[in-house]
Amino acid sequence: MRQSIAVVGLLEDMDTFFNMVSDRIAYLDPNEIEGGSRHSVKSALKVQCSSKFQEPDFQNELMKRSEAIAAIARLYIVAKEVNEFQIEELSECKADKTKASVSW
Amino acid sequence: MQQLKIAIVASGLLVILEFYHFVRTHFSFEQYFHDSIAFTNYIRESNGNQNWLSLMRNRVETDPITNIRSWGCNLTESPVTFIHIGKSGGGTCRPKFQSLRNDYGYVNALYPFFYTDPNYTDSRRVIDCDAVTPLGNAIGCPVPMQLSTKSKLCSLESDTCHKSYVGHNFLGNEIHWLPPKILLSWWNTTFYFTKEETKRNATVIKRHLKSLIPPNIWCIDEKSSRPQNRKAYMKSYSSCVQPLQSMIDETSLKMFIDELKPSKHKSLGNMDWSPLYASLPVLRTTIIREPFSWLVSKFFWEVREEDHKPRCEEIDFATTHTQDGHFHFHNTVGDGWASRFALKYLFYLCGEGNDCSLRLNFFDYVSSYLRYLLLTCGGICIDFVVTILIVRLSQSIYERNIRNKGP
Repeated sequence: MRQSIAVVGLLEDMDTFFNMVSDRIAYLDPNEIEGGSRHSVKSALKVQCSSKFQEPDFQNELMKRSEAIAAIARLYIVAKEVNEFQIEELSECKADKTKASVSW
Repeated sequence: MQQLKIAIVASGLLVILEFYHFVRTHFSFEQYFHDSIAFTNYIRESNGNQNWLSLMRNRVETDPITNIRSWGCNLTESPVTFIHIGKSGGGTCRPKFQSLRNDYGYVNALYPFFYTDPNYTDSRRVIDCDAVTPLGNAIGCPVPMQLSTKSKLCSLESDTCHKSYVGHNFLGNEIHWLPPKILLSWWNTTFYFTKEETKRNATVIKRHLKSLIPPNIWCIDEKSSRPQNRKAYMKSYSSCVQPLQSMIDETSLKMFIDELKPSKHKSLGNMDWSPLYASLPVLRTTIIREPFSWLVSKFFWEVREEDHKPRCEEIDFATTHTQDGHFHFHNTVGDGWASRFALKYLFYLCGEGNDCSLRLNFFDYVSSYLRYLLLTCGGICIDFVVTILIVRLSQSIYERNIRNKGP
């Protein structure tokens, strides 16, 4: 993730993701397109379950019992780190439009 | 005597815990990510146009640095892809990725997955592929020509690919469908091998990448170009696909291992191809969701049986149940729904191809075996270890007494 993905966005901040894509890639501007938002209906059961899954003790138990779950929790920390780095990098790009692009 | 028994049982438990700790330390996901980080740092330092392989070799045994690659802005390279991890905002992103300028085209989820999985029968989305290296995937399992010509996908004869592709495909899937001329250019400019034998093998790879350009001969035995469609691909599976996969897998493994000679990457199970995937000429984007919120969303999306839904809070059901959930790589292993979905999440970002699943399967095998040992037959195994310890201790006391008493 640190090396392979040019834009790593976080779901909780989609607007920032679209701005990042727009800054990173010259021919793509997702901000020009309206909406498209899709959210599934939340049942009472889903709300209850979501709440349980946000409890730290429950999360710790899941991570203790499953290496894969622990791994995706760590991956999320990396994603936040990469996202923060890329936002910072792209803000510098905005200031310096002449910065050379990656070549291959 | 009672105290001795307690001491022996405690020792037995300590031995088991030590063994468990040893396996966790040596075969865990942490180890896998540690290796990935070590490799990807060479890519960061390469700045996109240096000899990446040389940087790999120089730094292969050093401690990892967790730096992040700088890509620059206003990039005009293409294609761009969006790795759509299901239940992470992809539905919102898809229409947004259609906002393209000039002659760039948008493609939605048309490329298949490439792996062999007898548990997964949706043949529209999956094409068999047993390759275990990225180059084996590229040359042995090329996307059938018809898929590219019929549906606005990148032309296989072209040296450009001005597309925006959104799909659920795992990272690295591009290696099956990037136009061969782009792959050739990438191969010629990305890795500079130094040893004569690896140079020869690199030329073999180059020749086979050229064979992917239609109408060049791709399969020598059948004197045919790359497969026209899925049917032709499957028809030539044993005569062309499999032999090519094996040959290219073997060549590329030998080439990279010989060139790098990293002691810890001697075996296939530890070979990490993430820098090679990172070096492919593709601008990848993705959205990551907070994992526990994602697990709940995935559960309510995938688990259709209404009577199972109230069980979402059951830890056992989430981590150890054996029958439910829909993730196909690991249905026979025995993890619960949350563990299996978490594994799938990892596959999205771990890389297309069996090299990734091999590493994870190996871990899964070890962890499942340990779970079996400790939980299913835990009492019997502990008794067994304690019995051995008692026998050994008795022997030792007996021998010491003999020594003390003299002959």
